[in-house]
Amino acid sequence: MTITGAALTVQGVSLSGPRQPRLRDLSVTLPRGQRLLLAGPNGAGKSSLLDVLSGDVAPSAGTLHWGPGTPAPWAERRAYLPQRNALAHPFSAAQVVGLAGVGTREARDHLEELGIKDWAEQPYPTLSGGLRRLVHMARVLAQLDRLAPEVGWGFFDEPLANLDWRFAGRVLNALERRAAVGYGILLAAHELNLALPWAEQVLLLIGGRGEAFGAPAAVLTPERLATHWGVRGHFEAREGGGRLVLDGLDP
Amino acid sequence: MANARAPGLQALSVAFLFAFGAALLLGPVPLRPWALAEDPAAWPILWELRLPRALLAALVGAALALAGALLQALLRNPLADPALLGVSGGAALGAAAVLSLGAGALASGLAVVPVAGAAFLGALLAVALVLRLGQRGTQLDLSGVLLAGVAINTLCGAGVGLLMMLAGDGGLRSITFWLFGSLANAHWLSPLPLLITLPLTLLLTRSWGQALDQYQLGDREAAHHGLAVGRVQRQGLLVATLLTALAVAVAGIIGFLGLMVPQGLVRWFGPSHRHRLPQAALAGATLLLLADLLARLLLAPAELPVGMLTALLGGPFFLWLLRRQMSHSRADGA
Repeated sequence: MTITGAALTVQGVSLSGPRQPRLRDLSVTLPRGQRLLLAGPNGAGKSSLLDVLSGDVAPSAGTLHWGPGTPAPWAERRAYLPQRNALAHPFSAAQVVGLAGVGTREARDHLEELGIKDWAEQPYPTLSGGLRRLVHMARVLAQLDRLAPEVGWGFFDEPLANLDWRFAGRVLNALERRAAVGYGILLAAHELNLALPWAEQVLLLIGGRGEAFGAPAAVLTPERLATHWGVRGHFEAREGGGRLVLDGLDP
Repeated sequence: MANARAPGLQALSVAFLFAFGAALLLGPVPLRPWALAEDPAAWPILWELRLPRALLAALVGAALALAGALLQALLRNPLADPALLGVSGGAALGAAAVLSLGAGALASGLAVVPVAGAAFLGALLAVALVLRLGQRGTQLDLSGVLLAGVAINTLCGAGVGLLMMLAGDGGLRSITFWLFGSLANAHWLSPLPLLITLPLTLLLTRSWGQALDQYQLGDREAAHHGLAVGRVQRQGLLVATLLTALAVAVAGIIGFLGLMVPQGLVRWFGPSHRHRLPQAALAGATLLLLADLLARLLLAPAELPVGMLTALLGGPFFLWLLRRQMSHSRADGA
């Protein structure tokens, strides 16, 4: 399958914050159709970047280039799972997915893809934290699937947090399927042991700056793991993935 | 669901017609439909007393329940009610101000128009003030909104009392009318403002269901789906304020109806807002017709103010909802 459609180019983007800038002069070209991981320690600016890319926040400097053919309404060019969800209304899980504008059948299919169809009729507020997160993930995937693969982007802010391995795997597989048909997929995650083998490219943010962008083994070097995460370890690239090897905390 | 297109609307319509018929026929002097032709005393009772009053009860009940459903959706809180948010208090103060300026007794025909206008202004001011006071940063703080509403309501109630006392004759009686609400002063012109506004409102809001559903996601995530959150808020608050003000202008403050009806509907028909507003209008009309019937019959030939009755029912219901909400948020650790 050939990937058509333009990359998303971030050019000199800065975002000011209350005390210090959240993003500083960030430039990167994000290709579509690839599994992109947004990595960085806490407070590196991952959520800020996703906010800017999603149109929630206007950058204080710099521009985004979406490429030709991008629809004007933001809702038709991106789907976004923010880090926190505010919903408290007693919708069923399937109804929450339906808020993306899909029918009941389709909503159930999206729940099934993430392995939570059994909870489709349960009131959302009575679900556990991890399951609620998966319901929103299904809603955002439903929105993404309504966009054209040549223009659609999906931004996901820590969908793996609080998930067990099976559900985390389901989420990563779902994102992989979208990337394979040409959607732009950018996933922010702290679960590097799960996300690095999944990722084709990693954008590493440090202190609001773009530190590196490239293949996981090239970006997550032992030096960077030590400096920015305080661990001794390295990433072993292999055919079809690889693994993160941790030898302990950096003394 | 027998009718997936509009769940419950048929059943609610039947209940409404039943309640409307009962309101016409029952009372201190019961009327028999088959005897109407022979009984010359029956016609004036039906035509001059029961019919305008039943019409008013239906319209006021529908308006308050619709306003309540809208406010609960917009504030994302099942505890919202026009009377709790200060909207009713502001409307009552506005109406009372015009009346005390000499628009005359409420019974005097066309006075209903300036009174309704003043009620709307008063309600708008109260809403603006309550939302302003309940704001934390750019977000509405719901407990702040509710507390500000209680404070504004109390202030407005005191203002109404003062105006009525100063106005002199019948002061105390009018205070009771405003603060507890009553349909006893119904005449043929009093349903007029709502008779025009309510159908227009139902028409305007008929496609709001999906938007109100998406709105429950929170401002940010609703906007991610393309919802114009600010517009929904402004239009919804305006409609809810207008309906409440027009209801208060002709019937005083009838509390808790806007709280109970939408919450009952959530239990019967589920959480979706798709048909919530017409459902609320029908159910609110039915409930106020029945409540007013009780208010006329319980102590006949004397009457209870119907707002006292709804408060007696609604107060415990509110406390029960509050307890439930508190135990939920405790379970969430929120």
